[in-house]
Amino acid sequence: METNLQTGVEQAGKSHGSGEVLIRLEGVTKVFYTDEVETHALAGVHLDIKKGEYVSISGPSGCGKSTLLSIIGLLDSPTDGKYWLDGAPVESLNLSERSRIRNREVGFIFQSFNLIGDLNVYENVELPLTYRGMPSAERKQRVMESLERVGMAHRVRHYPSQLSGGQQQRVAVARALAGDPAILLADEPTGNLDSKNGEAVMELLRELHREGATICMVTHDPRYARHADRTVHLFDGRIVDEQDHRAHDEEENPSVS
Amino acid sequence: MSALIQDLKYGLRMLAKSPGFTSIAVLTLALGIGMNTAMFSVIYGVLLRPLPYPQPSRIVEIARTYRGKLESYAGMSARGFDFWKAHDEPFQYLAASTGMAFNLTGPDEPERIDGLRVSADYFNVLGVQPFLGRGFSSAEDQLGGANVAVLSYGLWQSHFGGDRHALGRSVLLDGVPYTIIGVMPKGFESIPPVALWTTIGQVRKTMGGGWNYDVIARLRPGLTPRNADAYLAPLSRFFFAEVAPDMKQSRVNSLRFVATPYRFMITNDIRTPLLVLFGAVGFLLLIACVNVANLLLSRTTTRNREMALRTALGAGRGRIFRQLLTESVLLSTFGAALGLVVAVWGLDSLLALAPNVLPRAQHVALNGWALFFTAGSAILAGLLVGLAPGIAASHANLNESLKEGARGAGLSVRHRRLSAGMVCAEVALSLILLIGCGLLVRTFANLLAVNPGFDPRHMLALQISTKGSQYSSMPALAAYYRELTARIEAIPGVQSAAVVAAGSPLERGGNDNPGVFVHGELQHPSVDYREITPGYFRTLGVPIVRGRPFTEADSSGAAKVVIVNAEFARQHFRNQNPVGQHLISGKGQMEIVGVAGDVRSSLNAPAPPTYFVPMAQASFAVDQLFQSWFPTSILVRTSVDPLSLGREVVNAVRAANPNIPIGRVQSMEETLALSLATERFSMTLMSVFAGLALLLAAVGLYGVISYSVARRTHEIGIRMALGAQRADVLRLIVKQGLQLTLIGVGIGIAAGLGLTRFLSSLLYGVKPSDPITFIAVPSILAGVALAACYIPARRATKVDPMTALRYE
Repeated sequence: METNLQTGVEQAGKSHGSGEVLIRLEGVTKVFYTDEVETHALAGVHLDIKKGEYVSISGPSGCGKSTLLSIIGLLDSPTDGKYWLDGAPVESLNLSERSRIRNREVGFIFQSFNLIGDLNVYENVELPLTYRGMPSAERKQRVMESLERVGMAHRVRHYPSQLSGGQQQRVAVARALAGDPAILLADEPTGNLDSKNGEAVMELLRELHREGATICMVTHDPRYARHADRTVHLFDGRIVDEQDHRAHDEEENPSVS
Repeated sequence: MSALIQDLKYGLRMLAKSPGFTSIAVLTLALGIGMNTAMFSVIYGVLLRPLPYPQPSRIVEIARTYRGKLESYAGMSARGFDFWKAHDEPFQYLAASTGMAFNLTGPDEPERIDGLRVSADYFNVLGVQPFLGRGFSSAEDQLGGANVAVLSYGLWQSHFGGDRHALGRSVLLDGVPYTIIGVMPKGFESIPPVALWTTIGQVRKTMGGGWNYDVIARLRPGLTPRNADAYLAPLSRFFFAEVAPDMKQSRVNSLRFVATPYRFMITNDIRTPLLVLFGAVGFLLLIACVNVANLLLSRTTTRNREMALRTALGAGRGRIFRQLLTESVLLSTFGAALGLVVAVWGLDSLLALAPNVLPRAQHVALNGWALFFTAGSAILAGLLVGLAPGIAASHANLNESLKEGARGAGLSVRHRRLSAGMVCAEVALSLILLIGCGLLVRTFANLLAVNPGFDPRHMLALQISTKGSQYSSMPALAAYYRELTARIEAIPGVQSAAVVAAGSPLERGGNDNPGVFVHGELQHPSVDYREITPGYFRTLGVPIVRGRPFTEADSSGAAKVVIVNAEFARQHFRNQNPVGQHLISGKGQMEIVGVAGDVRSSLNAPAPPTYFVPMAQASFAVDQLFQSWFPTSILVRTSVDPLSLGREVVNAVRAANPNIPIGRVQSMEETLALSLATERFSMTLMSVFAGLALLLAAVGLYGVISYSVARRTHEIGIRMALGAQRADVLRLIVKQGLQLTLIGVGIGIAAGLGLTRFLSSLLYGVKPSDPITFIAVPSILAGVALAACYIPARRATKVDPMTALRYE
């Protein structure tokens, strides 16, 4: 399937939310069936994420945060509802098309880093690019640029087991960035890190956002949620509240200019 | 001791806890151990079992080597035997023997029985005497000596009802009465199996004129064959100077006499095929062991915590290692127990496959030695199988394993490499077997494709013997054959019939040394000799390429004529027309009137140069002599299934003369199949072993790749989350399997190139490094490996990235 997606953090605009919608969910539901039990993980979610926006999703355990992130990241498909990614409907794509879009448009950052232990830092970051059939020279340039952005270029030959948790998460961020995706999806990116490393990763994400990246982050930590422009609160598979931190910040810190 | 009992108890409990794993491991080992036990039983019964005579290691055969290589069929002449009798220092007894068939006639139907002509000390050499009567005396064993016979226990029972008064009575052999002087004991094993023995001295001028004797000896006490060799070898030169003064000096210089253990000599032809097959089945056991070792290695990952806990509680590495070895030896013991069932079945199948291939086949059985071998194999297999997992478990990281919890940490990189290495070894071993199998299959195909020189389809061959019959001259015999073939040709469905004496197609036959003028020089080459009736070439469908076939006009009174085959013409009349040339025999000159196409005596050798004489013109003495070794054959070309006419042809022979014994009746296609029995035996067994090896290697590869897919589920999930397509995942997993396969194939090819030379004596029309085999077989193996990897690889593509990521 051809989509009219424009890729790239840079193309998303330098401003915090260009006004152009990148992600649109309408009435998205997700039901898991196990034997005779139906679990409604999502129950009619409506959500827009604009290009360049930094959104956090929060809520108690089991409220459907990760399920929502998986659907946004095309790792899972909704049971019902509509999903447009940069204007193109994607809720009913086949596996192959979802893989292709995931590879080009989505950058994942997982709680447990999910680096491949048998591959070194360079190879881990290079991995999504190899699935695009990108020439080796271009891959190398992108990998090194990404690693430099996260401050890990000096560790290219190291294996994940030789890195600290914070370093591993930096590499995971570099891997997510290397493909120049339309959106970064972060699932509890600080969940496996100590506070110092957690702060450092959050700072990295904020920096990326300042450079124009669209970010959607799942977190249950209110401190980190406040790093985002907007926080969406989920409860029992529904969005029950939204908080715009920019407005709040402006109220607390009015501009003098 | 109590620790061992505890290990055994715990081991049994662990095996019972995983019935699936235990069943697969036991079955795999049972297959390997069972097939080895069956093959060992054959090796023991045929090659290793001592001869059933007192002090059998003292019995040797005086054999010949040519440039150091033992000649299987080098016989001795009567003069040669005399020479060794005069030079017998290392020997307590020395005896000659020659096999021959007799027509035994009496009140019942005439029958053809196998016998041995032996010299007086024959039974002394073997160390066994008749249980009734006596053996032969020197007075009897000479020209003009009395015709006496010693009967086998079986013949004594069947023809004399076990009557002790049979001694002194006569049996009629070839129409001549022989006085019975002894009966050999029950169970006495004759080599070759025969029904009676008589003396050899009477035939020293006929059979003894050629190299037709086997000479065996009993070494003096305390001497070894090597001692005897030291005595015989320097005498070789004098032997040829005295016995064969015409032999070329260059050949004489290359020949040596050696005292070879008799057991070795009688199994010389089958030794190489059996040892090759034993090696092959050994490889199979090795593959089975590697397979189970790999299974155990994977299993240790689930037991890391258990082993870590044991270590934490004070068990040393040795103790852990011993526990795992106990378990693996338990596995192999169960495998061996089930293997005995496999061995019984395998041995039955093996013997059914080789009814005419194995000498001493009656001794092939699952005996104490086989059980001892099975027990040894079981222990060895248990140690082999337990080694890798034992080392892996005893070196596990205690801290990591305990932290990892029950889920297990999976194999370490080092142990994954070990596991992969074992798969490579399996692939390599399988490839070696498959290459061996490929070469033998190609050999067999080449032999089947060989043109024997005639059309074996729709042809019946029936053996008869006229020795001792009323026909006392060749004209009389020729007239009998004429009447016989006419009767047979009158049977509906018969197209033509002919008689050949001194050797049938596809069988060994008689030979002669006629005089041939080659470029003016008289030579006496050793060539094959056959006596035929006029319809022989027509019946076989062999073309006369020059000149004419024999006719009824080539009678005893007519000019002496012969036909030579094309090979004879090639060797002795190069660039000349043989027709019109002459051969010289004791009876004068014989004109060559025709050249016939070649007919093979064996499919794996070119047709020997042969000359044919008309039956009516053959020498009666020569005919009778050759009938002692080679039955006369009636060949019948039919338009229907030849075996369907068997009874009618037999009836026709009986009708022509009821006193002529009839031997084997079989189609020429059966003769052809029998002539390939050894090759078929080797090929079939090697194919079975190679097929099983391929199966085990495929299962091994499948197991390792499946384990790898299970281990990498999370990684595959990450890859898919990052955009890997199913094809990418499929490629990733298949590539891993193919890498292991290709490494194994590389090693296998290199090892195969080194090992296939041991097969060279079993090959025909194909080199040990045959490129077709070395390309085709690895391709087949790679194909099977691909299929074995494809199944887990497809499973990997079904990994749901969501589930896989949650798995972490």
